[in-house]
Amino acid sequence: MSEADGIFDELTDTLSRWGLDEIPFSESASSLGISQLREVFTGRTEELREVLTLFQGRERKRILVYGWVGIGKTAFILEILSVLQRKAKDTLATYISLPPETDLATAALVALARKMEDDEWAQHQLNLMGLRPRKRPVQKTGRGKAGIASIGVEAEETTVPVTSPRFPALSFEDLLERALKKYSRVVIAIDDLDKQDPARVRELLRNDQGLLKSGAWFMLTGHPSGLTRDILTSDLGLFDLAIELKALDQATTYRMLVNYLNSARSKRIRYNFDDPSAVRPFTPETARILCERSDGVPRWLNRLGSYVLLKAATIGADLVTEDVLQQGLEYAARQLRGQSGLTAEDYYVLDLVLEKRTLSDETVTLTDLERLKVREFSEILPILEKLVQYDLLRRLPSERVAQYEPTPLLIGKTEPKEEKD
Amino acid sequence: MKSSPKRSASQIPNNLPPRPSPFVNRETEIQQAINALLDSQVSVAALVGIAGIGKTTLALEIAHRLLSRGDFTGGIIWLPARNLRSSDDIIGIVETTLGVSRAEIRAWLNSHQCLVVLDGLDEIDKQHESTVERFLIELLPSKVLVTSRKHLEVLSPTVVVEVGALDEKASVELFSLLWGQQRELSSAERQTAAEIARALGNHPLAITIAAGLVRGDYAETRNLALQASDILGELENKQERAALLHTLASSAQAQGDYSGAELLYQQSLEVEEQLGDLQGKSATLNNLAQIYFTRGDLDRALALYFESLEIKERLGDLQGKSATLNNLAQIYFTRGDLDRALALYFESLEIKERLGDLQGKSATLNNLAQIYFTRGDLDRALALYFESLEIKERLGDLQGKSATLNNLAQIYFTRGDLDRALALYFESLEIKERLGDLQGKSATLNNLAQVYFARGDLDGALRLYQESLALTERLGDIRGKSAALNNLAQVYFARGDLAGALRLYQESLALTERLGDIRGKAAVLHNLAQIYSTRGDLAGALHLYQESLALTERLGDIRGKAAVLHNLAQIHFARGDLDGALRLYQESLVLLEQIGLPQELERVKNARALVLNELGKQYVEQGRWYDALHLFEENLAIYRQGNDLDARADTIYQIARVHHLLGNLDKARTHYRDALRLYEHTQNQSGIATCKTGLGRLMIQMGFLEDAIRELEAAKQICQQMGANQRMAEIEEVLQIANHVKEKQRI
Repeated sequence: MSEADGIFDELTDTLSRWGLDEIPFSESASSLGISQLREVFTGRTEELREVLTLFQGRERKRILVYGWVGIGKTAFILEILSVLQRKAKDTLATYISLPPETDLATAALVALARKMEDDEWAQHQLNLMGLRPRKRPVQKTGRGKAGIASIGVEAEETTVPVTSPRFPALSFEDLLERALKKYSRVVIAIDDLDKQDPARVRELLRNDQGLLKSGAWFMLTGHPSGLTRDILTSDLGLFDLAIELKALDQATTYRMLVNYLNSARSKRIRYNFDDPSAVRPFTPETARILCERSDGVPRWLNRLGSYVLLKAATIGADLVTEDVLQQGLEYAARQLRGQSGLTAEDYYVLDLVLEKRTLSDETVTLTDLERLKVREFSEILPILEKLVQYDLLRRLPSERVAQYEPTPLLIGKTEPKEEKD
Repeated sequence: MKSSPKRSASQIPNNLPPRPSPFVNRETEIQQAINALLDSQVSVAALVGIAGIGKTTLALEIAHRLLSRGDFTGGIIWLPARNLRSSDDIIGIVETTLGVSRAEIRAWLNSHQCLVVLDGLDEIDKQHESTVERFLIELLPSKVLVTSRKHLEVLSPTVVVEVGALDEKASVELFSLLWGQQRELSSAERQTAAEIARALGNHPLAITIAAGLVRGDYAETRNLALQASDILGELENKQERAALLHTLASSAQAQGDYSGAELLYQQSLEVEEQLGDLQGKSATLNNLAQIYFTRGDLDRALALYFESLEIKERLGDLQGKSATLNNLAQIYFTRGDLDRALALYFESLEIKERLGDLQGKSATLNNLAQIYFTRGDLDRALALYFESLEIKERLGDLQGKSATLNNLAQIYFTRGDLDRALALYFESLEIKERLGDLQGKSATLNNLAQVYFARGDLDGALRLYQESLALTERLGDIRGKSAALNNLAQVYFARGDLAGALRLYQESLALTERLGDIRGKAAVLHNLAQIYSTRGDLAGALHLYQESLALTERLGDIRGKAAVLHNLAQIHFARGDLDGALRLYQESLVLLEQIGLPQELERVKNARALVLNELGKQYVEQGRWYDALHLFEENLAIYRQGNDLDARADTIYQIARVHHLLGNLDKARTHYRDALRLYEHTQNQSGIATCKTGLGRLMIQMGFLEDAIRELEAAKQICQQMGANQRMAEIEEVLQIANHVKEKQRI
């Protein structure tokens, strides 16, 4: 028996002491199956109600789901889609993450065509665009969000270049017509608009207004800054409903934690929320702290939870005590800082934000910027946004300023909570 | 005939021209002639020899010697034959010289011992020949000294003195005297003199012309050359013929008579080919090539240089090879093909080092330095010039030293170190004056003037340019004159005297056309265009620039072309033709990138950016917001690389405006703040006010009224301080709106 075998056994041992088959959290891009999503999706009752109410109606609707990074937009719309899949048999629902350099019409076309695998014309369209048609949808490991991946649908790899057809909107309409012959309702979910520059998204929406006025239902995810208010208040009137997903409250976060842990336990064991063992190997106290630290952002809960459990497993802890939690949090901060894909420039910016505790386009000085070898705040915006994607920074919800500060994940030690506006 | 007692020279009537100077050793011939003339049996002594061989000089010297000796007490009469038409002419001169009337001449001649010198017997027109002959007979019993190219049996008994080429010593001495004028030649120079003299067959006239060329004294050379061209036909010795042709051609070239020179060189080529004189042929090819180069026919020049190069290689003439490589390099340089020029110079340098030719090495270092200078690599250029200077000093080559000092000065000038540039130019000038190098002096005066001009000392510059101009006129240096006129015009232009500048440019232009100097012409056209442009005559300026452009294309002068395109673009811009301007800027940029001139590239990019900005603003007004955005962003990318913060802030503000219009309020806000930050840094009050106004409006839209009012108040205050009442009023309006909304909110 090699050392590796020994280590593996040790770890498996620890987990089983915790009552877990595996660590249920995900760092970033792994997948949870449909059933797993059902298990872990927590809260958002009001929002679900609002959206599902709409689906009781006949007339097609356009729904915008917006919120900050990691708040659970993808999970939300996937949950909606899976409900529709289960309950509304006459509905064709499809999902796509918006590829870069692609317009909405093309994305919608791809999503729809992929779902209509028996339709020859649809498959032909895919062919023309340089995409391989599939006979059956495949459980693909795509770029899911917060561990919630694509379910029964294709999640696009971001690097696949799609050759747009000449008149994507028209092609889409043709395809839609065909689809509507078989189904009474077609729902297209286009995700990750918030990954793109908000100004570009505006452009996209402006250009594809016709698309949104066609016969299909649309669910788009968006970025809160600037976009939403303008889209809603402008004459364009593009959306029928704009749902904001806010941070979960503590109680809901706690319940989500329990759900996650339950999903990794053997099928027969399902703890109730108020059972202290529900959060094992966390103690209720450390679970609470963890939830506090996550600030109601599901993604952060996942990441912190994952790192903490990894650390705990490595040291073979039976329980995640406060001390173990502390170690785990510090470990998380270190790991997050050391994520691959971060360049030296990214670190310069990150360090500046850490040093100043907060950075905004109002308060930044020319000296600060020159330290980063730039002279405009706009020049570091892409880096700031990238750091947000990497869960290192967050943008504060204000329209007065573009203000960034470190996420709670980066602060290794537990600190007294500060008031945020 | 009674032999009269001798008299002193002052008492002997004569009309001799002044004694020739310099005069080199011809003792043999002199004695022969004098002996003949003093011989009672001889009536006539004839000096016979080919044209330009020095017969006249010799005759004059002989006459003066006899004058000093006092032998011909009756008088010595100098008759330049070409002026004689009839016996009357002769009598006239005799009368005047001797101071006797016509009637008394016969008597005088019979009673006194006289000497008649008839210079250029063979130049007398056929029809007058017999007249003169008869008169000469009548002049007897005086003695007659005749100079002639051919042997004319006119009178007898005649003693013929053959006048041939100088012996080597004498010819070197002649050359040295003519070249060095007052000073001693160095041994290297003496050696060169000997070589040249030998090449010219020790022919005095050829030597004189050559010496004149070397001195740079073109006016005198021209006169001699005119003389000499008459005698070409006489030369039977092919070698001498080729040498003389070559010399005449050089002279013509120096005068700017390129077509004449071309013809002569080609004749010279023929002879050289007949002689199988490869060395001479390749030298002539080189000179011809230079003419084509000056005319702008670069392809032909290249072809000839390559031919010459091939000969040099065949001859194993490394020295010549490296010189030709240099010439070739110069052409590629002119074309803008700097890489190739560099390569050739390096090849040449390597040969020079191998040959241990320090002089040549330093010259090539200079050439290399020039290329680096053109590229903007000033440090490297400086280093090379210093290396070259050190060699020149070691060699004691003052001429070269002063040239290199000039080059160094130019670099310091370019860097803005005017004091150092001045010091170096003065040092160089001092050397030129010491050397008596008028050509160089006039060029250095030009350079000095440039520095004064840059300092703003227009009077000083004017003075120096005028001095330089005077020199070029004295030297008959047409090229130099046209350049000096060009520079003078610049000063007039700077003073605002457009009419004066115009006049001078046109004069300069005329000269360039006369010279067939295309490069010069293109440059002057360019300057003329600027004047028209300044006067507001854009159409006129356009026309001139286009003419200049056509010339630069003909020359294959990429750098010049890029510069003209730049100016053309500016005119289109001034006329409001933005698309045209952009197109031309683009063309210019492509060229500049080709040659690799970073500084000029940046200048053009910046100029273009201004046009792009204007175009962008137009697009905004037309509602083409996304197009405008793309333009502004393109510009911003350029400005981010430079240091012009104001221009950068302007562009960022424009971008903010467009985002504002598009409704991208978040982006607009960030950009307004970015622009504001830069304006605050450069303390551009107007810009600050503009940004704050924009921000104010934005804040109203976003609903942050306190912030809005704060920004607008600040903007208003700035406008007040600037006295910009219009703007203040506009801001006041917006403030009213803000306060109004605030009131409503409170309710």
